[in-house]
Amino acid sequence: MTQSKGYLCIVLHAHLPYVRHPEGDGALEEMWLYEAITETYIPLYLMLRRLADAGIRHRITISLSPTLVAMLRDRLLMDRYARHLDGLIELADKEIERTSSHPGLSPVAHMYRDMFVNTRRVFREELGGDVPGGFACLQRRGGLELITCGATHGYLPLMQVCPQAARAQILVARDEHERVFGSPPKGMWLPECGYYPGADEFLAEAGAGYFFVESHGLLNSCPAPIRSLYAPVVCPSGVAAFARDLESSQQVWSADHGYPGDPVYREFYWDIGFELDRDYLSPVLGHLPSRAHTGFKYHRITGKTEHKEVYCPSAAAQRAQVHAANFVFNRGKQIEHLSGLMDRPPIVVAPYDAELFGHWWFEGPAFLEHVLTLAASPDSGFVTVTASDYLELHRTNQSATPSTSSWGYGGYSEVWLSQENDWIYRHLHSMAWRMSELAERFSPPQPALVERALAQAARELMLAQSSDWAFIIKTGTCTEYATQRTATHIHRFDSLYQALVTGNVTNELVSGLEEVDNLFPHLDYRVYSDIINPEALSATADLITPA
Amino acid sequence: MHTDNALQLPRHQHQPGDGVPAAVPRASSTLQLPQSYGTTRCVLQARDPKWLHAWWEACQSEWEFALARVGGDKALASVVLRVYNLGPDEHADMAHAPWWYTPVNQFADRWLFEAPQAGCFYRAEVGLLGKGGLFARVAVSNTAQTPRLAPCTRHRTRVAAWSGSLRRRPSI
Repeated sequence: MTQSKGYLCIVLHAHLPYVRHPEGDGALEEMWLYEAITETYIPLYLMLRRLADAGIRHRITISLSPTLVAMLRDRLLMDRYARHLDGLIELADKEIERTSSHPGLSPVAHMYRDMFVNTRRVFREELGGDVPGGFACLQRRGGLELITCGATHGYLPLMQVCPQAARAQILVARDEHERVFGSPPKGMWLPECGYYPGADEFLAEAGAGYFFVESHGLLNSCPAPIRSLYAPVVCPSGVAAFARDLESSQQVWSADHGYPGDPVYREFYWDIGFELDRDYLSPVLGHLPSRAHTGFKYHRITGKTEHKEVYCPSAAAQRAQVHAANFVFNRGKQIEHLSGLMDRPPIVVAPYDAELFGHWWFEGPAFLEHVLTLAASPDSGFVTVTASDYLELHRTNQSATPSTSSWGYGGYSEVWLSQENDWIYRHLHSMAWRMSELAERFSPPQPALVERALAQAARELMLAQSSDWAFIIKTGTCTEYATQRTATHIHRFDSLYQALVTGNVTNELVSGLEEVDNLFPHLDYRVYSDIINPEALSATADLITPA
Repeated sequence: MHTDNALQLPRHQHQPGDGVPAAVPRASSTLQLPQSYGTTRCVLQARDPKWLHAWWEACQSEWEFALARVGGDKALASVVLRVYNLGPDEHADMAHAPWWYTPVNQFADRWLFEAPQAGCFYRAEVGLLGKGGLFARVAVSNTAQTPRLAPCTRHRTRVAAWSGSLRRRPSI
């Protein structure tokens, strides 16, 4: 490892908001989860398992958000997902028949059937319905490092006025990760890459050794970073901050120049779910109130045109190899260049939304597999590492505090605080203060029903805080649903609060809410009452003589 | 700006079924959100280096008291935010800080407005501005800092040794 000129740290952040609807299986939003399992999570699992089976040395970090993990371990949702897979295979059989006389479409239909049949086999037989367990297995095999993020993906910079809420997001996430995966996370992904000075103290308290910031968060550190983006800084709390690299991000993210926009890749938006007769689509969409994506997409991007050519899987696979080689070549050159300017090997941090790979960019998992394979070659000039690997190798780093930042549009909080969604903050802040008030007031042991009501109030607060709702309200994609979800959790919290302060907690109320919002079964509401003891925080950043 | 405290929400597309007990607050078409949390407060937060956001609430008697202090004539009083630029020092004395008025809609309970400088601390007072420039405060905010747009140059470079094992808080 020390022979390389530097390091590449690939981080995939996997997250979906909590979209469990036990009241019926007609929720369009649950399809978000099913699509992501089929197109992203299982393909990524299979890709990493193949690398491990082949003995190809690789290191990659995946952040699994607590809400996603909770859904992937939920019996109701996984039973529904299994039925969804059955529906996909039934529709695939119909598609093979429908496209049999079309020389272009037929191979694609067969590809989908093979893919869905294999996905069902992996989900049911190999994983036993436990997708997080599959990733835990890969972590034990050594190639993967699993980390977590905020409990419900609450956006931390807009919790500064109620730091106990930010702290609870971090500590509950840490506990959930440890409960599910058996060990605490070595680091954390901050929701939306959103950081503010002081948030790192909660990470230190959680025992997380590192996090990631957007590039300008590190560039505008106090004091300025002496190694630019290519080495971490250590906050006064002792937690290391790594910065996103702009160049490697642009090559994948850019709408205009990024790899996923190549004309031979599969077109995401053309789906038979919006084209064919609804009765015909009933195996997949029959229970839904409206049309939706099915996953059967037969066209390639082609170009900025309404006319789309038929998708050719083999051509797309070849292009993914070419792009992977280009990515690895560029990282090698970038690292070689940087290493000549630095006093130590540079680290290039490349974080992406996991759902980009497979869901939005169908060929993304294949691209990543080639990247990791090529990077394992001594010719690449670098090795893949995780942030914790790097900190083991380079234990002394510059002391600095990054500046407030996020990876959202504009680089700050513009997406989550706008004229469209700013109405939520009076509620979110007031609920957080009320939750602390409840936690202080009911700090001594309480009757079981009261303790359950308090824990449920904390769940409702956390669910209302999901950054996804403010994001969706701002972007206007499913505004009605996001507004409703925010309002519902505010309302449910208020009902619990009123019941608690008036002494009118009923089993009917608590049980009903526990059934519908059932995540984090071991959540202790006292996390909102704890007074932060500075001496209990890590003090690992032993400052060395000023340079 | 929005002026509604209680949102009249559109009908939800997925109605709860029989599986949810009657006492559970449902996802219904018109959820009434709390109109007030029973406090008098003003909250300030930075959106980005150049924009601040404030929300506030106060009971009617607080507004009436403020109105009396600025002369008692509603027609001559307007709701404003008096915003203080504390500069780079979080603990700077408001009394000596430069400030300016940001007019807001009289029915508003939140406002997004420009901040003159990145990387500075601000506080805000919401209140009434009456005839002759008389200002009556209803609530004062927390301190909020706009993010920096450049590296901080006030501190010297130091290095830190990472021990590799943070002393963590026990599980909750």
